[in-house]
Amino acid sequence: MKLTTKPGMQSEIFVPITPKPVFTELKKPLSECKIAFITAGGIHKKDQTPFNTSGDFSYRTIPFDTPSDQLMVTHGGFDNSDINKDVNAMFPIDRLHELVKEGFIGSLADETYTFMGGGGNVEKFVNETGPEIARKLKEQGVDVVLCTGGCGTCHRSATIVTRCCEEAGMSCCVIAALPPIARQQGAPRITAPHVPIGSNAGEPNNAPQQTAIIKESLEWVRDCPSFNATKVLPYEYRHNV
Amino acid sequence: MGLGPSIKMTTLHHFRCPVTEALAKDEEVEFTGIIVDGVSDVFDDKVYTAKRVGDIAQCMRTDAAIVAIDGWGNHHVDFVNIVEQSGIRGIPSVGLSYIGQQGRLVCTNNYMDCIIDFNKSVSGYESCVVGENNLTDYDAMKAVALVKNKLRKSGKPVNEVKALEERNLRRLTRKVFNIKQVQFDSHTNIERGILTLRKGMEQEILQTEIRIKSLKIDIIKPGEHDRFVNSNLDYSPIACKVRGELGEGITHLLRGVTVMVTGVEDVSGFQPSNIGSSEGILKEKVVLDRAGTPGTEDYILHVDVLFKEGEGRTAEGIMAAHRSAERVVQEIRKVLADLDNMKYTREELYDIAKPGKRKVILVKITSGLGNMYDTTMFPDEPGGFIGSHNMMTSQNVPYVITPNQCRDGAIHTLL
Repeated sequence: MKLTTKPGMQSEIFVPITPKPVFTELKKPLSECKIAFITAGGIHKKDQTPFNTSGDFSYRTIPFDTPSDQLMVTHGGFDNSDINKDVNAMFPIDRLHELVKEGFIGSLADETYTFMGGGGNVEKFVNETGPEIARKLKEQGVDVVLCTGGCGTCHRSATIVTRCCEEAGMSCCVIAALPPIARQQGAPRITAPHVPIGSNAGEPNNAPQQTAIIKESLEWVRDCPSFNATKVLPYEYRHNV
Repeated sequence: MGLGPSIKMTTLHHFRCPVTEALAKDEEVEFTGIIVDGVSDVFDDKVYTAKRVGDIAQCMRTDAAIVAIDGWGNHHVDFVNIVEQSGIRGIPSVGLSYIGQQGRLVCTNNYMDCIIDFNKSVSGYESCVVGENNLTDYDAMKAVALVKNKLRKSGKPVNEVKALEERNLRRLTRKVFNIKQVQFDSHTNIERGILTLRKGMEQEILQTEIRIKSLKIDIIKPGEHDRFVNSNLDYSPIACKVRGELGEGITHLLRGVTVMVTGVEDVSGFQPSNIGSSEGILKEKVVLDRAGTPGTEDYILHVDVLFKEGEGRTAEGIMAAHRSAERVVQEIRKVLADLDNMKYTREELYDIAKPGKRKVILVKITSGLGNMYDTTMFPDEPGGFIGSHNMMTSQNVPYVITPNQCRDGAIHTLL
């Protein structure tokens, strides 16, 4: 169907397009799965080049054995103070290691990829960064990918990359502080704890809450009946700046 | 304030808000009031505050709304929710937002059918030039025309009304003094169009500001913008109340001079910012003559703050910078309040009830995320900061203000 009568004319009226469904059913028990955790929340190693806060589609490689105190955040889209207190609030690397030890999940990928999704170039994420991260995770034999994003456009970038991973044959879930964004941008599965943007994975230094959010998100990867379904999690946290 | 430098609405922008001016001068509709809603960082609160905006709009018997915002991304969740909650209550609205490429709506709903995109750049990406992608008079004019169109479509055309006698609810008198020159000397004074500022105020201010390492007050002459400045925190007017509260009585205002606050952190060199900082050569980092930026012919009273390390990223540090800048302005207000030997232009501004005419409101969505993204309401003096109430600590519950309160500087933006 032809939508424009004059070439190059841009409408001032926004027309939303919800992307096509992508869904990879998880066929293994979680205890046998290899898990990866990606984030659009601007997490990187302290010795890596910080992200450009006004928009950046590059990514950083983080080995999963990186100690959490070697990680930091560079992100302009939300209040960083929670992540500065505890990086697990956005990128719960310590909790994931505990879950492997506990036997809840099989193993972790050797390395993962993080990016800064705030104000990100949609086309670059769809066509370059997303597919590349998905390919690198798939090559490591990853089964399940969890993802967080900080601000609003971060949730969009996070969802785009998560969709690429789902398309590459992994089962994925976006842990969203802003669930309507993840839903509209076509996240395969969504969990929604009641948390401020910037603390998607739970209150800083509250390990039980962080663990519960990850566990329920993993269970949602296993149990989610269909594309784009959201599970609201009963965990609540508000920060006082 | 706005997310990035190019769209941010400064204190000066709200003081001279183009939408407020366009609605106030329109004779076909009643400009009933302005709702100021803060952006929260918890999704549930975004929905909650949007519903409250809907309730207030309905209680104001609003026929249509213009919804303006200076953020995108998560801020757009508040934006689309407010449009939806108004729509559910039968109030059509026209949105005003930066969209471009970077600010494309992250989520939407069935009520989201009319947005004016005030992006001005070719790339469609935020830039670090303050004012570049600002909401202008032209955007405001389009919004008012579109809102009338929406009223017509919803069966409430503006011309088919039985208008009754109008009532003036509130009068604000503005005495505007023109400043031709700004200079330093031994004491502060305003005479024959010359503003003289006392030298050496910096040390007095620093004594009570533990988060600030040093302070520099400078006068920038019109056109002398080929100089480095740190990241912009705000542009604001120099005005004071002579009689009455904000929005009524008498205000004295200086024209031809604008306050610019900038800052940087000591040691780390961190430039305070949200998305992208605006430090650089001044003439390349500001678009002049916008509602929220100085005019080409303006002197700039420049207050540059050197934060102690770490304090350029705390709410307290940013507020200390705004407070410091205002203490400089306070010094001027002392003489401005008693100014009676200089020619001035008198402006009479009214809040007018127009029984029978369609009621249009403006919803301003401002940041209330805390830390550096914040807005404060009702300072003691026009466009000031001291005495104001923080949006985030009041949990972003919406305010209703009158058009005159907006035009008398009831909104102060932080960063």
